[in-house]
Amino acid sequence: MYTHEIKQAVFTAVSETFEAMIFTQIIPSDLPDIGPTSSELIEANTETPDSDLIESAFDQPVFYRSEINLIEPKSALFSMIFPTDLAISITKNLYGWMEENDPPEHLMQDSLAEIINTVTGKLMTILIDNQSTFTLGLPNLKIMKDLSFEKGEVYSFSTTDNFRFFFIIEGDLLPEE
Amino acid sequence: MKRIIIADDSGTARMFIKRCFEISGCQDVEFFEAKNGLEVLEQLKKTSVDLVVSDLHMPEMDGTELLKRIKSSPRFHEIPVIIISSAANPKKVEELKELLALDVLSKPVSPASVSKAIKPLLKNSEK
Repeated sequence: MYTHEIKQAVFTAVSETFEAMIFTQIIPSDLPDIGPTSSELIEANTETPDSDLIESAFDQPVFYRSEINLIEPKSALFSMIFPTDLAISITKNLYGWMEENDPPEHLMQDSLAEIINTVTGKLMTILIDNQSTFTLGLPNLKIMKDLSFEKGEVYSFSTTDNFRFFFIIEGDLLPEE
Repeated sequence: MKRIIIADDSGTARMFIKRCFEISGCQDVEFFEAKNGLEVLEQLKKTSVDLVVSDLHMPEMDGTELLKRIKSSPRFHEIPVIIISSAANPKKVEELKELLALDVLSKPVSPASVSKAIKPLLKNSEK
């Protein structure tokens, strides 16, 4: 499979999901100048405190990383990385959140999990042939102290509100060198 | 009043599917929610339901197993089941329709796709 086919499929999957679920248009953007460093990750769960408390604990804004595994027919990991402000915006749009306070953490995490699940399913439906099936795992959420890309192919996007976010593929879908 | 069970392990997905039904013009509907197939079967024992809308991939009991259980049950087999999935490619759709799913919708669902899926049910209720 060629790089440009995957790139186009990723854009289609992400843009159609964002338009349908959160009424937001996106455009591809350049990757930020960040090296392949590792980031401190904490497993998110529904008992994680509100985003303000998480940010103050890290003394800076954090990033949310939603992940889902492709189990069959190949093994791969798909991730999306969102800055906190975009995570809040996505959740507000999804839920039609009109209150002054930000949505609670569990709604944000559930929203981002559903986004990666939907985007990845759509992506695989585009990439895989009509007579094959695929199986995805259950999505999970992590919170990142810093923005970093340890490995994989990274695709960068911006919303019309200038929030930048990333889709990452690690595994067999990557073209052979 | 019609009764619809929406099953998905994601609360966000349940909310989104419910909203699509509402926007598609489903009036006078009471919605029930379930996090997996087992919870759906429990609900079915307690209340009469007109439609089950289920995600394919859920913990405890997934949508395929739920569909098989409902369609093989003497008591529940006439309840229509719509499957919603992020992994609904043509091969999977064919498999699920062979298991007697009324329809299979891809995520993200839309009011238009929901409206099309429930059209046969509305026709039947008009007869």
